[in-house]
Amino acid sequence: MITMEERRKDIINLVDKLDISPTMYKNAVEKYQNIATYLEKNGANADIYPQGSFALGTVVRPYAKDKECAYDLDFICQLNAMSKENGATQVKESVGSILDSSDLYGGKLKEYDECYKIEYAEINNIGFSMDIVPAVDEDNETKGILKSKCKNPEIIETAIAIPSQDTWLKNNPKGYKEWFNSINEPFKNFNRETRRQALYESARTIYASVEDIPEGLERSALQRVIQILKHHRNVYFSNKPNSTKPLSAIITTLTAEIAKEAPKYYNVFELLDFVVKELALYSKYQTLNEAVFKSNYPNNKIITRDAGVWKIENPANPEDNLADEWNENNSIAADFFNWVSIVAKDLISSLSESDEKFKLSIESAFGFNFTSKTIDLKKYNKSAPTIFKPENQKSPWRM
Amino acid sequence: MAVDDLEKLFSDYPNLYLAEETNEEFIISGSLRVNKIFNDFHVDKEYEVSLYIPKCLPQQLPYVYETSGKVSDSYSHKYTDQKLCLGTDIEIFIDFSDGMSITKWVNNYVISYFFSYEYFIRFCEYPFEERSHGISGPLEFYQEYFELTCLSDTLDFLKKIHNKSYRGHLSCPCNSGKKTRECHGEKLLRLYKLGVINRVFVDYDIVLQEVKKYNEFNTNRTK
Repeated sequence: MITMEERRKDIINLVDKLDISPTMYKNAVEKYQNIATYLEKNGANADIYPQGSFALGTVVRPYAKDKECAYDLDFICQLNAMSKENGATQVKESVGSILDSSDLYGGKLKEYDECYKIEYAEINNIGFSMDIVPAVDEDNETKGILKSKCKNPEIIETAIAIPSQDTWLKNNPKGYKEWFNSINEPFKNFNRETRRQALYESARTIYASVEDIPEGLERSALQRVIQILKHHRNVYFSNKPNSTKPLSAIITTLTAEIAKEAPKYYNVFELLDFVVKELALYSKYQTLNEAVFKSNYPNNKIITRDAGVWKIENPANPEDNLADEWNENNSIAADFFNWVSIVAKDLISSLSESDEKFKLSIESAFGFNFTSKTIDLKKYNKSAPTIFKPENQKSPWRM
Repeated sequence: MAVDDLEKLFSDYPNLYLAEETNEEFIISGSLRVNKIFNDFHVDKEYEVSLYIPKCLPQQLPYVYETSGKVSDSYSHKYTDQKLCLGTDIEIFIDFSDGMSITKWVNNYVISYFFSYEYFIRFCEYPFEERSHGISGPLEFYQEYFELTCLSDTLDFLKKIHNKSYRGHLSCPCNSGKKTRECHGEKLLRLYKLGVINRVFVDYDIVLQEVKKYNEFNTNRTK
């Protein structure tokens, strides 16, 4: 049997390959800085910063089977000289008109309700696009209300208002990042120099010294766990086209909330195990009533279901319930918890299964093509499978 | 059915063997390895099976049991008598009439059954489109075979071919206004040539009876 150690190494190797490459990272940073400079030069007076997975260091390579296989990076363009008083339409258009008049961006620009999308040429068959989200500072009255409701009032100051059609959406990506970083900090500091050194070894052609490795490329155990979960979700739900896949915001928020309570010296596998076990516990909310759940698990408050209403609060915006969809359709929650149990089977219990079963589990977890390309599977099981080629996709029985 | 057909089966699936031969059928047992990929998902598993192959194929169709308990009894494509529901009889019948070998049947129907099962267990969805249970299953097949738009059109189409034998120069039962030979003629004639048209009529009669029962049930209820 292949040792546990080697199996873990193989999984780590797969996870490494899921990440944005240092070249891609550098390229993305340059592109967004160029846009920032362009907007600045043309009088936008804006603060431009990334939000979402790129800002948090939890970005994963798009799953090749997804039709819209592309890196989608989000940037907020927060206009310093404007406020909500200028009106949603005008705020949005002020960014749009500058981008539109550019020789470089104008032709590539697509307008959506909340953003402008710039699509770049594909690199290694992977599309690359950047969403620029115009925004202004949230007004003080609203911030006051948000602070009074928020568990983390200290991060509300950075709240923004995003024009959407002719109204405003509340958001707080800087606050979210601050919240996330504060949880990630101890995980990041653990073994940090070793990890930075390893990163440098893998990207010597791009960076001249260890010191040049940007912080944004570092991955703590927490960030790795989020990446693993996100990729597993992408693979799993690509074969469940009739279901709603869990939001990245849900995965990131829950994982970080749970990690708060975990020992900071945990490696990726220990932390994954810790997080998945805790998530699985909340599945009991599907069958137990509120009072019974609360008395059995008094400390489990990350997901709640008061009076039957699912709630996962956005830690940086108390008015944003990330589980809104779960309340519209109960099967979304059921699919989420079922998925959690499959993650546990694929990536935790599989480590102590036979070689053949372990191989099948990681193939299922990461997708067959990617797994067989990335690691040597023959050591687990020599026989190669054949591929079904349905002559007629419609007919179930003729392959 | 030719005996060399079975020989090919044993050479392709060396873990299968002839367990018994009666006047009516061959009983083949052993393990069947499914090692397939579809939609980036890999199944690699062995199943213990018993295949009952009637000698008067295709008048009677073969059936399969999985004997190691790897297919749950609660799976909707397993009959209460434990036989596996591999697909609608008419489709399998047409394929055999069209020269499908036993080996190909194992490949196309049995292996894909197990793959579908494992896929369903993991994703709660099927990899390939499924047929409904009961009378809708065959109807769906006819709808697809004749490329009609809905089940009621399909029923109407079956009624017409049931009541009037094939005439190429008359207008097509699909109501297209074209002559049959310029419309559904080829697909219809294939069923005649393969000798399966009577089977189609049997299906139609069954569907008709079910529809009748349903209508009577509803009339009684409204009374």
